[in-house]
Amino acid sequence: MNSILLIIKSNLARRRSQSITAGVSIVTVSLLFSLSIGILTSIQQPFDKVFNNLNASHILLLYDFRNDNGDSMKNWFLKQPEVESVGNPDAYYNCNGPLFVKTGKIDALVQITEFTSNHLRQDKLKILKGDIKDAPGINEIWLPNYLAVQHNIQVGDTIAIPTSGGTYSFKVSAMVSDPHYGSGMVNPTRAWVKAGSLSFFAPVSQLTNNCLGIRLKSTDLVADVLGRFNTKFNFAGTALQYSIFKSAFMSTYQLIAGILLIFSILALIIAVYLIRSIIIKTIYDYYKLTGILKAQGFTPANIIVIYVTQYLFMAILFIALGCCGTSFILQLIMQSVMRTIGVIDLHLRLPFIFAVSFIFLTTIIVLTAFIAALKTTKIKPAQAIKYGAPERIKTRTRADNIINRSLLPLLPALSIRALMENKKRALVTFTVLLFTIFILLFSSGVTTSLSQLKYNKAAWGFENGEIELVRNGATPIGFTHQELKEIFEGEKGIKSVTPFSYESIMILPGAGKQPVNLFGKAYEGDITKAGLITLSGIYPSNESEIALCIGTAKLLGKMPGDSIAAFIEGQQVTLKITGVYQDISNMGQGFRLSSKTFEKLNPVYSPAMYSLKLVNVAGAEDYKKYLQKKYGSTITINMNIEDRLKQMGIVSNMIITFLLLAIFFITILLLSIWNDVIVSTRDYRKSFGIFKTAGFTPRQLRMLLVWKMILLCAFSLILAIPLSLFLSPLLMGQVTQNFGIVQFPFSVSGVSVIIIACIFFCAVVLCAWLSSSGASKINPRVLLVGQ
Amino acid sequence: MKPQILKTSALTKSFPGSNSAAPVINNLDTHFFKGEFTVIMGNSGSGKSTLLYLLSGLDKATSGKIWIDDFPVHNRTEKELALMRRQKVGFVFQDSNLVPNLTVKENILVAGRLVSKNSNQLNKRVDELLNDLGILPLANRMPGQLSGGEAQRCAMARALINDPVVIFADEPTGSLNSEASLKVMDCLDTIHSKGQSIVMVTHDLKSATYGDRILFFRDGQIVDERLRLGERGCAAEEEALFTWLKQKGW
Repeated sequence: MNSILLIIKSNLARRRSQSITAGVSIVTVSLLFSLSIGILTSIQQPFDKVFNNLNASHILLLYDFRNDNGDSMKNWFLKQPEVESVGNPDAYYNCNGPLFVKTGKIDALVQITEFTSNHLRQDKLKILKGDIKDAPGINEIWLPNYLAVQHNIQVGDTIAIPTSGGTYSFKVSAMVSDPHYGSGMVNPTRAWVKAGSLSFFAPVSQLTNNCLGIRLKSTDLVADVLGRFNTKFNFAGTALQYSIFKSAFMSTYQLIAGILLIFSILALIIAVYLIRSIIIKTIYDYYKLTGILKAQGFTPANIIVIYVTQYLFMAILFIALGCCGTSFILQLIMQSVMRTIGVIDLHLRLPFIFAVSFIFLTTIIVLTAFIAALKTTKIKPAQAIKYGAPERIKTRTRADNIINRSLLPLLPALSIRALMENKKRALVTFTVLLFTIFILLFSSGVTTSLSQLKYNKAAWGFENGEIELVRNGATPIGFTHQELKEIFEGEKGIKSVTPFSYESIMILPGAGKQPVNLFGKAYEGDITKAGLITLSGIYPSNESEIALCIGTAKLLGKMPGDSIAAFIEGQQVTLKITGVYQDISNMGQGFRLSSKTFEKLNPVYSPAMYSLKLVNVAGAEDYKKYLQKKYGSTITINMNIEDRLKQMGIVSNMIITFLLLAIFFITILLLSIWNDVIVSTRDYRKSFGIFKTAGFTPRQLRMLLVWKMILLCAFSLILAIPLSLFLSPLLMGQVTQNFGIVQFPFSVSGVSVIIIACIFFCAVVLCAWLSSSGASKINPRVLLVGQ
Repeated sequence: MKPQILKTSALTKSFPGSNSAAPVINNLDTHFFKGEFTVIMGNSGSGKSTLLYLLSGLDKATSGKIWIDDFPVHNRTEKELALMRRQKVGFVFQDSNLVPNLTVKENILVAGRLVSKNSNQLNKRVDELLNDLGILPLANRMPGQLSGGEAQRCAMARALINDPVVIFADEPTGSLNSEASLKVMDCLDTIHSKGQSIVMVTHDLKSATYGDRILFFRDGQIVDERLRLGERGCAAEEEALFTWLKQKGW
């Protein structure tokens, strides 16, 4: 065994650059893989922890007490065996922004909620910054911590909140962790004021919104309880449940982890290929040595053990390095999450994450080494010692005429011949180049897609209108739906109006299956007028039809043409599924109905929301101001989806993630190129000696190597650009399918692609040039016999 | 008196870090004539190959001067030396040193394309050379498919492609059997007969008899020289040369 270890030590020392290349690729794979596993397995912990610590409600019912009776609902819930506790109804005021702070305007929709003593036992808040008190004081407000962090609001700052009669200023006295609204992904968000303070915002007659929290004994019971609740009550409000809050909290991190996992698998394929190539090259370089070892009594198994043990050591060392990186990055991520939501002690399952990474990656690497090392069994000692590695007889290739016919300048022609001669090595370098440029283009495409969402809303499941607004029917001078619709249709600046409303229905999947409570939208008129598209089928046009979001269709196992039973407005109806669509706004769950369905079941139904498509798209912000000024408190303009995404930091998080990944892969690429050029210089030193004798200048010798990289780089760019356009949406579709997007709306910016391609090309050429300096120093003495 | 094609002045070469205190080439003043076939002989390690590398501009002297065709080779940059080699020098090694992934013709074309831009003329010239050296049918073969003698003749064609001022041959028959050696030397003789200047290092007596002038090299110096008296390659000349070399301590 000692002798095997000595040989391994010597192999590692002599093949340092190749060992480093293999090592860096293993570190990268290990880091990406363990980090993705780490995020996926850890990210739910802080949410569950804060949810339990603060005794949060699994169901939040948001309702207008003029339509729904809070007390009777509370009493019903209290009688259910699954219910642990029910809070008192909290009054809240919907502030449709903007809020004004010292740093500027915050375009956020906020539920200003009264903090009552009820919250000392259920739906508690944790004060993260500010004075620890039981409740906000007079003229004080508690903000969710993420909002304060995003907008740099400090304790003691003043925040001006629009009211029905102007603005009212509050002092920010604390930043709190709110279990339901801790992520910033749930819109609107929530802020807290002293009980009785809502009268500052609007006349008491208008303060009709209430929130009722129900905490269950287990999270698994939500669907059962809500199902029974919907059959018992004709609930007109909105029921938010545990799974929505949890999905919203985890979505960004899951998205990033999913992308990391895809990248880690791709990087693993490259690493396996690199390791295999390095081992095979080593076997041929040490052919004679292997023969000598066999002559000394090493069995074929002993020789294989040398390679397997070497790569086992390397795997252990470099996977450990990758896991160290993961430990550091994961703790940074989790600490940031914990700081935002106020969790102090979090037990990361690092041993589990590392064990999975170690077992999976080590097995793959050792297996690769074993399969590659099997080639040594064919080495015959006598021939190996006498003749060394069998020399390959070079045969003519398709590229022969390149030099004869002067089709290309000499240097690129010779480089093509060199590439054709050693196809395997060229393929490894080409694959690494292709993979890296693919990653760069993929990253650029995904961030462009997110940042260009406003130009492609329909593909994401949003109406294509530039403005979305709510009709405030409760105001004394409010409009009816028909009035407001006619007014908008008469506005010259508005191209089209699509009225709709958010609705809740319960699907009855059939015997033995739990009812499914769903949120969705009901549209008046032709749904496609709002730009909405389906994945299959069409949108409903009459009262007995429905379109399902892809997640719901999968959950129910339904497709266009099928029928489902549903409970709507207290009545059971059968609806024919006409189409399936995708929509990111509700994690792939939901429905789209014609408003005729509700009009038939509820004669007083009327839509309260409007998607406005403007004549002048660029002037949307000005038009918003115009509408707000003209129609005042009769309408509330909602924040755009693009602004909401910006506020949630999804795009900026993605850009940072992709930037880090890009740096990683470029590092691997440059190391691979460096290694390839140095190995090529060594392998072709005799040819370079001949060329030097024939009159090649040092620069020409270097350019021979550089041209190889230029050609490979050009081919990889030619292939990677269409490949990334084709594969990126498919890969992203896999990642985002749990978020309701199965066909990822991939957008590409031509300028970005050109810039990335140029930077990539320059980096490759520069690296090849710098690493080729050895070629110019080759002494023709290498051509002397015996040298 | 023939014009000088190549000359050195106080040429010295020592290798840094070498155990030996004495330079490999020691203050050498010598010259070679145009159209002459000069043979350099000497014991192993006497510095013959080093001299060839210095003369051809492949290696740099520690001190001293070299001129090829009145072009000063000393104090030149790598690039200037490379450009000079293209035009003025051809080199034949003991091993043919053909680029293994290029065909016979391509090996010659690569050197040619460094100088000539006219593809048709160049291809014609390559075919002529291959024909002259008797290897035209092998033009599209790979080096691995050639015998030692054939490969060496290909190397000669490569050395000749740019019509060099002088051809340096370092033990061109050193790796060949006697039959192949004879063919190679006949080729060199044919080339020489057309006026080509050749400087050859060899250990082989038979090959050395093809030279017009034989220089004996020892301790970095040319200690003596001898003009060929008899027929090229004949036994009597070989015998006379052997006697002369023995006297010099060969």
